[in-house]
Amino acid sequence: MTGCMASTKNLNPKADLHYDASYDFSDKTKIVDRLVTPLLKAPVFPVQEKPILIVYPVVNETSEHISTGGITDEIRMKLVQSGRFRFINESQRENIQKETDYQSQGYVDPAMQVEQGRQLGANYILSGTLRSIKKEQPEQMRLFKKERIYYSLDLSITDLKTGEIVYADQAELAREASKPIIGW
Amino acid sequence: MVKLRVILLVSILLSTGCSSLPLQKARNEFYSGDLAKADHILEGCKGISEKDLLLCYMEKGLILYYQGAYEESTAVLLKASQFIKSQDQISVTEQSSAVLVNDNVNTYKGEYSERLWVHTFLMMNFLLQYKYEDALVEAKQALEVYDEYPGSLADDHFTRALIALCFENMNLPDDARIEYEKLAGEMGIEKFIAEPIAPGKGELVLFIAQGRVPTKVATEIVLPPSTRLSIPRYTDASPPLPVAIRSDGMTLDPQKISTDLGQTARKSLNDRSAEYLARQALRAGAKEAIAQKVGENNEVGEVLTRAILFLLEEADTRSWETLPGGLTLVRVTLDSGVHDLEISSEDSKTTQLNGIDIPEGKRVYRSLRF
Repeated sequence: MTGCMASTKNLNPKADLHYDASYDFSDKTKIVDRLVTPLLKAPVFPVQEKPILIVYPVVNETSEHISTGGITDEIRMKLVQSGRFRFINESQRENIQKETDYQSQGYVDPAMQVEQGRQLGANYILSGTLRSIKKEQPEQMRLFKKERIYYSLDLSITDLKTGEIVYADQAELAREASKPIIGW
Repeated sequence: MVKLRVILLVSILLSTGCSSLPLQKARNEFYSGDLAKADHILEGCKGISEKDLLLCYMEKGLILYYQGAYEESTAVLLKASQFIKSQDQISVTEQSSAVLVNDNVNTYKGEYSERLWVHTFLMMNFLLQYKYEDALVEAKQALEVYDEYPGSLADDHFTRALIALCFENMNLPDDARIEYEKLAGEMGIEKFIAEPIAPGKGELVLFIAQGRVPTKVATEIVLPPSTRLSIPRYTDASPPLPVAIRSDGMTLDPQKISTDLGQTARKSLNDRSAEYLARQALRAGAKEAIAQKVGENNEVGEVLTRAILFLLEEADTRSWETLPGGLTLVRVTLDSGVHDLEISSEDSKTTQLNGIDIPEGKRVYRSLRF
């Protein structure tokens, strides 16, 4: 009787839960933590200054449809929360322009108008690429099919003035999963 | 007891073969030109049995694609891709039923070529939406299918060239070069050169589909006393015809790479022949044993059983039928600006593409079907 009932339960998003070898939500936090913690301690940026960063979306070069926007957002969120950096909101540029254009068209009290040409300019670009290598067990007499996937997320910070890469790091994940070849 | 067995066999006979009426209706509407009706028939793949679900996803994905509903087509073809992955297991229940009845009781998993073309159409869908990262994901998944069935798919030059294009779009020239080297080897030419877009120019990329893919039919072989072998094969079809491109009154000679889908599908089916012939042999033996067992007590029962088992033997002729017969990838380099183009095939079919805006250094994608 109870076996036929639908059920739901809450999961800990930080717990290691994997159905197969492919990338899933618990990998995101792990990979982001692995990259952000050393970045905050890196001696590249002077402590007394708050460098201004623009974050470009992490590029997906894996063989899976992974929403890398989630990785980008989490990296940005952790860096913002650290208080060590200032950020340009690149994704809101069009909306900012729309709003400031509206304000300058005479509808808004002149005393309250946002002055144009006062936006921050970024000092650095933060960019990243997620890659994967997948290997399946060669065909042979076997009851289980094994699959290994290796993921790497490369993160780099480029000085906008000089074009120099001033910081680079990599987080890696490797996983093996197996499933039976014969089922009911 | 004999009566019960006969009733069971008759009910199996009646239950097989007619579960996919909506699929056939949708295909008929598609080829009569009513794509909206074809799409409506397969709404939510309702009424389609689980064993034909992949066919529904593939047919619906293509119907939406040729309606220009690329986002919706993508969503359905991604379901097809997921379904194929989920079927990566041998089902004991299905295999046992197939040994007694026929291969139509098995869940359709797609021919090797069809598994590849799910990714081909997903790549085209993403490119038409300028989603280059997603197109690259599909390119990599297509490469996995190529690696799994290299012999069956070597003639699909269109998909290989499309994969290389996806690498080019993501600024991965080394990966593109590797695919172009493989393509040259498969086409039997020394070198394949893909030029980068020159300053002041842009590129129009055309996905040209022609005709319709051959369907599967059964070849029947009858052996005494009552053994019937029913083997699937693809019908004959002519290869895609050459296409000519004219822009602003001038005939152009762009790079064209074609695949005869019928030829690749035929090769895929042939490469799987050992698997279905072994099952046929096993089935013929099992059916003969059943008939003899029934005949031990009842001669009329044996005759009836033999007749039913004979009728049950039916080749699995299911296939993805809305596919075109040929696909050609055309890459036309044009001066940046607005162009009028005329695309014609050798059988005098012509399509106009007017007012195509080609930005400098960019690629513009269009899909056509003759």
